[in-house]
Amino acid sequence: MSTHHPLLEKLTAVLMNEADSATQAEIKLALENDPSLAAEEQRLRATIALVQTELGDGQALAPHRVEDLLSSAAKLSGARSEVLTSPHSWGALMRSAAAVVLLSGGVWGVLQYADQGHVEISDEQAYDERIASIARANLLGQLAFRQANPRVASGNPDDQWVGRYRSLANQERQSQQAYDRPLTRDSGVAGEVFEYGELGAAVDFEIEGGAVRESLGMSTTTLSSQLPGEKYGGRSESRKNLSKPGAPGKVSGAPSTPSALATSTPSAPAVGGESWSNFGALGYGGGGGGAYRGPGDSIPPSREAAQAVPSLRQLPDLKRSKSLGTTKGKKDSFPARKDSRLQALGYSTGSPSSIGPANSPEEMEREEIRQDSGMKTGSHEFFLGRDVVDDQLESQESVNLAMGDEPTRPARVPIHIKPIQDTVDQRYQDARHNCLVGPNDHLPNLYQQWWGDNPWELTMADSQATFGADVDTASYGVARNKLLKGQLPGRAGIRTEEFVNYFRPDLVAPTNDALALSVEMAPSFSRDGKDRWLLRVGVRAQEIQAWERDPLALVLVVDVSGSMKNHDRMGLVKRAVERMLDNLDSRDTVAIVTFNGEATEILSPTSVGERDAILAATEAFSPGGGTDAALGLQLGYKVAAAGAAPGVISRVVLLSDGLANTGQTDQVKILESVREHLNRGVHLNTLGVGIEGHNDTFLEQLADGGDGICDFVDDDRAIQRALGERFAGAFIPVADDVKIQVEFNGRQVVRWRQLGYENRAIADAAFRDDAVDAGEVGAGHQVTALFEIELDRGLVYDGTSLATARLRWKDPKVGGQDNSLRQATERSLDIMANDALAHPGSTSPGYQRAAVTAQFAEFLRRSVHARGDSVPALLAAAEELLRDPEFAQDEDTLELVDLIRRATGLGLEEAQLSNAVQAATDDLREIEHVCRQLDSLPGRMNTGDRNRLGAARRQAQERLRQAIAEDEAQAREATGWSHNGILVVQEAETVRKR
Amino acid sequence: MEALTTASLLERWRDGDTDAFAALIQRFEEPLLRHVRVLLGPRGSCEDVVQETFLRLAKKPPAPHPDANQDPSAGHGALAAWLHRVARNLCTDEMRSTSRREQREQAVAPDEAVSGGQSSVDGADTKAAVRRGMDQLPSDQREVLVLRLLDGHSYQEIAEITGLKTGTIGWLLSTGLAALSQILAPMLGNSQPNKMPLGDVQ
Repeated sequence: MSTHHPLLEKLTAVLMNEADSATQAEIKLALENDPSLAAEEQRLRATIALVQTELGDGQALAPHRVEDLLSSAAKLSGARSEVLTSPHSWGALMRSAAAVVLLSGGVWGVLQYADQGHVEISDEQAYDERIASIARANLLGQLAFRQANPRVASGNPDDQWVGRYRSLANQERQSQQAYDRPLTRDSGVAGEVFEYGELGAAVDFEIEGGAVRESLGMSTTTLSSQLPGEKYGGRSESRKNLSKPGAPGKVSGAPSTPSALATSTPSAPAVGGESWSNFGALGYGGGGGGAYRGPGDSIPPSREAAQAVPSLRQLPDLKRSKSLGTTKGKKDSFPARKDSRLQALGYSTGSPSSIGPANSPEEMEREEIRQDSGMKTGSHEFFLGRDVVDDQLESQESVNLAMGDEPTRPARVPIHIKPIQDTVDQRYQDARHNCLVGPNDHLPNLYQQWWGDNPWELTMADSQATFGADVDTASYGVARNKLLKGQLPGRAGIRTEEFVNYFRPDLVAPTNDALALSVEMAPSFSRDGKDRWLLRVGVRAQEIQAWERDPLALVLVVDVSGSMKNHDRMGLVKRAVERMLDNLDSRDTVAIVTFNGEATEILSPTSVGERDAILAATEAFSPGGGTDAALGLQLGYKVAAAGAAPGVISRVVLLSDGLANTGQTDQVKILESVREHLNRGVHLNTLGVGIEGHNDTFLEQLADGGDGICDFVDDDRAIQRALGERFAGAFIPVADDVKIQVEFNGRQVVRWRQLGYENRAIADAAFRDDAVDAGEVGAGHQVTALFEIELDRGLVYDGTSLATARLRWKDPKVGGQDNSLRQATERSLDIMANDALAHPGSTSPGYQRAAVTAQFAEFLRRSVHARGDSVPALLAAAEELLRDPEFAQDEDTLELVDLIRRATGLGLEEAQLSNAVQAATDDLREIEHVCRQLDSLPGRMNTGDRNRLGAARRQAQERLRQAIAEDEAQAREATGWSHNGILVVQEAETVRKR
Repeated sequence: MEALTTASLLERWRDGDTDAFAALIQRFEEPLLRHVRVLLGPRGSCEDVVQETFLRLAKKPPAPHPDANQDPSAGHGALAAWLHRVARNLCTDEMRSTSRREQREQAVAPDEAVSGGQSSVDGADTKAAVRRGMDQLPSDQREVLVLRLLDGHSYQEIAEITGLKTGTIGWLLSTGLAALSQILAPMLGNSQPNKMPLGDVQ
């Protein structure tokens, strides 16, 4: 933005006759003394005169329009209720209405659409229900919700609590009580310790007597998964996460099975299989492989593993020494996502079934408690063996506890640990390599990892942002739960796009296309002295009213297992079904299948006209027994297939608490079957019941695979939201594989960055590749993407665009259709300089809310881009939103403002820099990204710039090393790990679970 | 009819006097068209929007301003603000629709691209040049300029119409006017704007 004469605004006010007397006097004096201001005054006066003379001419409505108006007025003055001619075309509505000739119960009815959507129906009695239904549908107006992107297994923010200490803690199997956070860690800022995983920490320790040396290497997903060894040479070994999953029955010391071996191998190809079978058999996170190092390297860990067992078992209070790192998700955790991880690893046995029979309600409940309370923490590791082990350890624990088996432990065990300098070096090296990974180098299907912040991209190096639409909103819900409990959520759980997309749509829905693009742009929040603008690209899906949609054939697959007895889950299911029926009418059918250990069709497809019969069936639910979701789905699909008919939207809806733990829990196979049925046109929606706002991988993945929506309900408000407001979006798809691309014009835009969508990126070239899968968008959805852009010379009105937004989608999948033939549609929109608004206050309320929400998310992410921005300014902007009368009534907006207020009270601003290691890593990552970009543009940088950049890089590296050193020192001090590498563990005490 | 106050015209229309309604159209069509044109661009569906605005007035006229009898200008201002607000909301809906926006862009862009800049305009084209100059401004500046310079609304009234704060309006007006004076510099006669210490200083 340009800066103007400091008195310009006052001068204008004087010219406009809006100045007070003091200002007038000030300007009068200034005009006498400042010739430049006087010249400016002349120029402004001339401009005003020019505008007024040239544009002040009369404009009038065309005579026929005035006639129309007057005749309307004449009618109105007689009877105000008569229909008026309106220039706005209701034609589309009328056409649709006329086309809706409804066959219901053998009776034809005709809808006539009058002026304001008033509906007249000929056969009153037969259509009572329809009228009610249409009226309800009209209320569906604003829809916003989630949809899982099949391309990327996303999900729920997981605890990012990973690290060496945790693996140490894993050795000690019994104590599962909650631990206090180590003093050195980010007091009050949950989730920061996550960085340890990211940084790649390594700790070697040695049990006295030399029985076992373990190396526990942690590192980032991205590096470890992607660059196995070669690229980083010697570093590769420390990148292996060496914990292995065990097989069932290991607690009892049964020999490992080949399958355990097989499952472990893929994750650590460098490691000999044999060594793992032992570790795996014991259910321990093992060491070895490349990470095995130090004296005694010649002895393969495998052989010693067996001997090590007793010592490991007796390892007393590493768990207490664990205070180093094992706050273990107590404050900041989410359900573990073991199953999806396993699946990602190609495991076929890693589902809960492998952790032993836990099918009694009590067991399942225990499992749940662990999940809910975050005792199981997820990792963003790709190898993930460690987490698998955790899960197993925990379930073993349960078993042990159940048996009352409390192992004895010796009082003191000294442990040698690695000298601090080595650890610092290693952490630093890992962190530095981690910073070298570019934003597009991520594997697409990693779970719950910290994706980093999208960096600034130089337009000349990369002019396109391409990503799949995402209507998920889970991240917002989870963050809200945290904040309401008085905690700041962890950074990795915050996904900016899910925050922004949480709110009800504010854009106008298209009527002639499935989706519409729109853009809005104004000066950005954080100017940083630069010419920065915030661009909003909005995608709004068509609204589909109940009377224009195709009939639905729903098969509800209801979980009636033992765990559903708890927390009124059955009640939630019944109310959810009831709410669902409100949105259905007699064209639609509902069938109900229940499952526990077995599946039963308790209601064959029944017209929703027989509402009472359907509700009566729900009364018959009597929970008890196991949970075989596969069996339930199988029968559900069978019922759906039997009822399939052309022109009918067929959906299976799974209602479950997601704790599938008996029968065929092999999720890969379940997913395959879901996809197969999808190809036959049967979608799958999942509804998580009573999971307290937590996401569940299983349900979400199923919905992903079935191109459906996954939602969660834990109270009546959530039911209303999921099945009331979002009903059409959840059940009526309007577009599939929705991809968005924004291409910036390098002549105007120097650099740009995208807010959010870190894990939704698609290769630029894949935008027009219709084989590339992307997100589904349902009726009424709205997807918002935000970009911050930096201009070179200010706005240039030369007829060239600042950027071009493109949108591409396919028609939704329909049963019986060859999906490869589905038509792709593309729309584009040029963003011109005069689309920009000069003042953020001029933008639409929806834009302002999106900007506030995104900035809030950036703060919660401790984003490097938000650093230095003002939290009070954010709060002020949020409160400003409530000036809009609509928002002042909107509970979601009110809640947003409340959450920002709470977060501010919880130290949101202080949190930004509370973790020096994290901050230094973020900084270095930014610099490395710039270096990488400039490397790709040879000749663009002169030597001076290059040197400056090099110096900045070195400084950042030094800061990082220093931060790590300080952090490590503090960590060791806090836990009694001495610098010389001797840790004396204190006397053991009996530690009970929880 | 012409001599009657806006408030009394409104009152009469509320009683069903269609002549009063016709007078109201005559009184407000010009500022409304101007306002709408600013928002939608030269080839937008401005007349549709204005017609729709009057239709809303016909269907559901607002309550008269409480002080209208004592203060005719308050009555006029209140109805003007109401009409402009309605028109503005309709424009917002219009602008968000893809197809409309595209039309508008096509309408604006080619003109500018072939015009060869403002210096090439001669006297006969002054009006078109001023129009184009206005069209180059961000729409929030443009709107405030039109409401103020051409329709003579006070900052306060503009605030009511647009929902902006008066401070924002002052800022938009001064930056917009300064930007416009630069765009129109070739037509401003003797002044030498390029030598002014005003412009885009980073």
